[in-house]
Amino acid sequence: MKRSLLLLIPALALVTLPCTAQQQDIEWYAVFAEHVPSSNLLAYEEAGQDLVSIFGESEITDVSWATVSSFDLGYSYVFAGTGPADLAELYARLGAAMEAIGERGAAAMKKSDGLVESRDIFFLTLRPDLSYLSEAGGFSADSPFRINLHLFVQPAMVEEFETAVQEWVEAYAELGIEHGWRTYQYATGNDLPAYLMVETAVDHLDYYTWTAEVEKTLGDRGWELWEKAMPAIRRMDQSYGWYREDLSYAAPEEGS
Amino acid sequence: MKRSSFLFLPLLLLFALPAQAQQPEVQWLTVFADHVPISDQAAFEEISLQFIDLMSDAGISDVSWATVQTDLFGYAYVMPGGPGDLAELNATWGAAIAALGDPGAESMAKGDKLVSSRDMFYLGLRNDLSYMPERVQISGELPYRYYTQLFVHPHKVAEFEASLSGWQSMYREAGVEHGWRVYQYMTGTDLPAYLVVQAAASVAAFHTRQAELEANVGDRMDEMRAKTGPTLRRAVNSGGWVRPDLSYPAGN
Repeated sequence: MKRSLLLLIPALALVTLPCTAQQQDIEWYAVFAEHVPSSNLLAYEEAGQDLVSIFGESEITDVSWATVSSFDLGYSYVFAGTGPADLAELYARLGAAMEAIGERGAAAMKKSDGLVESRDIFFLTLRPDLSYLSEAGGFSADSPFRINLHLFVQPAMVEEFETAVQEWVEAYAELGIEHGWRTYQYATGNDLPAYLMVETAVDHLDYYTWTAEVEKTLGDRGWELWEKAMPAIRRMDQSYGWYREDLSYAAPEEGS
Repeated sequence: MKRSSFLFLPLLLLFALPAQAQQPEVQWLTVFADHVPISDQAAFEEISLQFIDLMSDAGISDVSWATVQTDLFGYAYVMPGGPGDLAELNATWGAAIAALGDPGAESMAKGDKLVSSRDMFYLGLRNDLSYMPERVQISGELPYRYYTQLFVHPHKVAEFEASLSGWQSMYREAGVEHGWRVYQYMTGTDLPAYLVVQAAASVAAFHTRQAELEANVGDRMDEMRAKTGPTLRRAVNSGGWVRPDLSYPAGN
């Protein structure tokens, strides 16, 4: 059914509203992920660090990315602010950057290419309405540990799911919980509708320490909220990841 | 590594050349797919047909799609256009759905309940890697589709694409009159990946002509397989059917 078109378009839930009005504030993320066999991880990261250094030395100013490594998602290179409509421009900027870094950059990329098993490309949108204190889910060297919760939702229950998440947001706010999360919606990919909830912490110990506190604060209300959300969920996967500042590149401000 | 961005720009392999000059022309397609349990397919199709009738009755003329049903993709709705066209596609769809009103929303809600999951991805038609692609239209005249998904080693994309020109030459020299289209997956998982599509009147017609081809140029095909094979991680074959009745405008 053509509803698929609508469900896959973030925020296009209320078809009676003009679509253009609903899309203006969408925050897009383009994600390029590489899966690398464990046997190649060290060599791959060395090549990645070389490439980041070369970008820095070449003072590439119009390309930035944040890198997250995790066992299930591989190495994810996240381009914030890049949606489907920006893809051609991103490729053009990357093409120009590649020319600028020359032979050395090409050699670093070729080296890593031979170590990669497969790749993914997909688009996410940030859903601020389904997030709580969303700055907590950003990319920060101070809180590099990332807990990814993938929620695969029943196609017919997207609305119920989102309503349940909004109730989580309200509960956290009412209880004054200081730990937040970001909810992203997969705009492209397989096995949709799907959402990615991201929490961050200093490390495992930090995460499970404050999670225990949050659970205590939520008490029975936490279980009640889960019971409301569960019927809308087909499957749930949790995984860990790390923000990798050493494999990320932040373009310097022009003129700085 | 950032090379990933480039490997998905077909042929952008020679860094010494300006990026713009190296990109082959890619014809983008937007694909939305619904996976429906077998137990619900009859009901799903009935609702889809009703939805198409609603679209026709409302005179919706600025939305079109072709539907292909496959084990691989479920019900795949194929539309021309790429990532740059998404906002316009959304706007056009939003207007169409608004025009259908409550009956349209009810029809979609019914269909929704029968869908187990969905996919959304972009394909790029690579005419430069295809053979007589104009003979592989999505049409009711040749409704059977034979799909070969080719999963390529990331560092062997150039070799893979180069090997396809050998297949093209072989088909041309043998005077083969049916073609194939090569689509590149532009987004998705388990990339780099390509989809080779052939069309025929029926399953039997497809395999009859394949047997003839093997009998005539089997040795050369084996040689080509030996060249292409080492560039692949995995290959998956499957079949599908163009569904004009589930396309819009009906019979599209």
